[in-house]
Amino acid sequence: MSNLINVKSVNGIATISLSGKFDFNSQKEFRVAYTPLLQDVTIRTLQIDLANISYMDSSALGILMLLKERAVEAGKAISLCNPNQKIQQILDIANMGKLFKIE
Amino acid sequence: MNDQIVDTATMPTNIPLRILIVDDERINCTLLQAMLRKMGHESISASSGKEALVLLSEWRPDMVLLDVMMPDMNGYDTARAMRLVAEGQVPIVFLTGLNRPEDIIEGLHAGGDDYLHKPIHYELLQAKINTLHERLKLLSKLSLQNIQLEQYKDRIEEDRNIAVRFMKNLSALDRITDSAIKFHLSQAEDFGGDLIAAARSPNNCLHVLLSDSAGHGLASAFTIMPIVEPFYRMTAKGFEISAIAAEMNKRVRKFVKLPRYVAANIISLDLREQTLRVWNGGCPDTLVLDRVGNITHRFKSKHLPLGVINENDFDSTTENYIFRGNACSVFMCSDGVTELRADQDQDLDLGGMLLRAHQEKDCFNYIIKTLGEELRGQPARDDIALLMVDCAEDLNHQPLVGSPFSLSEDTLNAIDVSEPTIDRVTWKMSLVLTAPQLKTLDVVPFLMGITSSLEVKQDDSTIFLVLSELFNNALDHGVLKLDSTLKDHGGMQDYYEERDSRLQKLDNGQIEIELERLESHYGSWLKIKFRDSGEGFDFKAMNKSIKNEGQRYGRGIKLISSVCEQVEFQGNGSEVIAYLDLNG
Repeated sequence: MSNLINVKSVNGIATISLSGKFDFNSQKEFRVAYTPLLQDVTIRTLQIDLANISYMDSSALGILMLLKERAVEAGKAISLCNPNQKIQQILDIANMGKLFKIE
Repeated sequence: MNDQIVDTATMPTNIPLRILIVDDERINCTLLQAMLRKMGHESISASSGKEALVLLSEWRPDMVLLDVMMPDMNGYDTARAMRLVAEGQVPIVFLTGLNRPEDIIEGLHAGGDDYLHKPIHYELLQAKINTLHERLKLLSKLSLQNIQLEQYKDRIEEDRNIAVRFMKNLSALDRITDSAIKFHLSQAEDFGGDLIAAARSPNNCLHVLLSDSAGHGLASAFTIMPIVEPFYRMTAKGFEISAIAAEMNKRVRKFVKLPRYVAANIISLDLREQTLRVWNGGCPDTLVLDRVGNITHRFKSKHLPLGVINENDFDSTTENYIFRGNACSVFMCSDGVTELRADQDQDLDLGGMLLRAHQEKDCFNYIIKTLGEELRGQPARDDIALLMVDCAEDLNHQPLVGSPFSLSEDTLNAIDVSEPTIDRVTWKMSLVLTAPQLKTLDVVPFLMGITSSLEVKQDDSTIFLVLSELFNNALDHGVLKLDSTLKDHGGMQDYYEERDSRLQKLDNGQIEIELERLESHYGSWLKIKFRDSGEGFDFKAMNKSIKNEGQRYGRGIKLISSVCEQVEFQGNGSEVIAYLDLNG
């Protein structure tokens, strides 16, 4: 397993914390983590915590874009938080700021 | 091959086995045969090693019970000989009165699978046969799976080869023959997600595409398809890169689903207007370099990559840059270049490398060599695509044909529409475009579509040139009332910005377009008429000032005059008619 995924829900806000390498191999594990959250009516907001990610590739961006689409369909707000400088650069080049609130 | 698979796969679990008994003493054979028959198995006996080898090949037993002590060829030798032939992989059980460990070891070394002591114990024999039979079934299942894996591997290999060839043809790097471009593309795997394409539009704008599909391998290479085709097709028809980017986005969205998408960097280089237009969605900066390699301008990624958002939300805005002769080249690359040092603390100093490269004799080669050294013999983690476009390329080899000439009396008479020659098919179409279409429609390619489907035979680039110059003239100066001297006073950048802003706000205004094919026994002509709702202009004054070289305005009209037989302004100057000779 390349990723450690942690989910914490407080007051309708679910935080998915990722650590390690975030790439194509993370797809399945990540989907397994977020799918029940999208179906959970008590959750209004999804937060993806990127603080502990060491590396992120273009596939990971695609995975996040897909989640954004699904979150919109499910009527939930979504944001990315705590990217380090390197991750922020990657998000900037792809203009992810146009899709996500980045905190 | 397939039949064999079906046979083994459907083998029932409790079928009687075929067992070969090898013993020089007939009584032992008879005894064993009786036991095996009772267990429900079929058997045959051989009285020597030689005979056993023959039966092994001819009768093909599932198992061999082999006596060790035999004259001529003993059991161990027989087992070794059996293991050498194709059918000899059957389980072999030695039957012997010998009971010493070294005998057992020799038997196993000779290729035996098990040992049974004489006299033969019925239940023990049955247990051993069953165990071996289970193993046999497992082995045959394994070999079946191996065969299937092998076939699967072959099929994937074949698919890969077809796909590699297909993708290579599709991306067809050898299509890029433009001398203004130097490029390099190396793929981390057989199929790259990176792509470079280049083509010239009918008015000689150079369009270059560098794209990078998310992920790697076959699936990411498939994303090439929905972007290459519109790039070449729409460039050839004269569409601008903003329209091409929008079409690509639509197609990637349709054919490639998230999480896959395509980062793309598209540029349009117009050497005549000294303008560079860029649409960059998700790629590293497009760099404009001066003669010595200084970065004079950066086009950052301003958009989301292709395939991420719906066509309605797609932003096709391009950034424009007027380089006024001070740019020497444009540099573009994929993130495989900028992230070469992703796992190191220090980033790759691209700017420094470009400066050093410009001191070398072969600048581009130096860049490739330096990037290769960065890898230090390691295989690249990502595809690497980079290219440089020379902006100082000589303009004189433009494929524009035609030279200015004056109309003779005869020709003038021939262009008399009131006297069409009988037997000749002519057509005429007129069109009025108002503000909503002027804001959204890419008019020139639209008109090109009409003329080419009506089979007007003439160098496409000439028709395109005339249509686009006349249309832009009618829109910019007529409908939008832009003063062309703005190009010189405020610069092209200001000019384009003002143009975009006025077009956005446009409520009123229209352009009438008439296209007409005229034929006579002198030949055929395309008559092109544009009339705009503007205030017109003093075309007589312009006729004088055109002679003033170096002025940015009026150049378009001069160019059209050079390819048309006649260009005339009418009325207050808001109507213009051009005649294009279709006889080639």
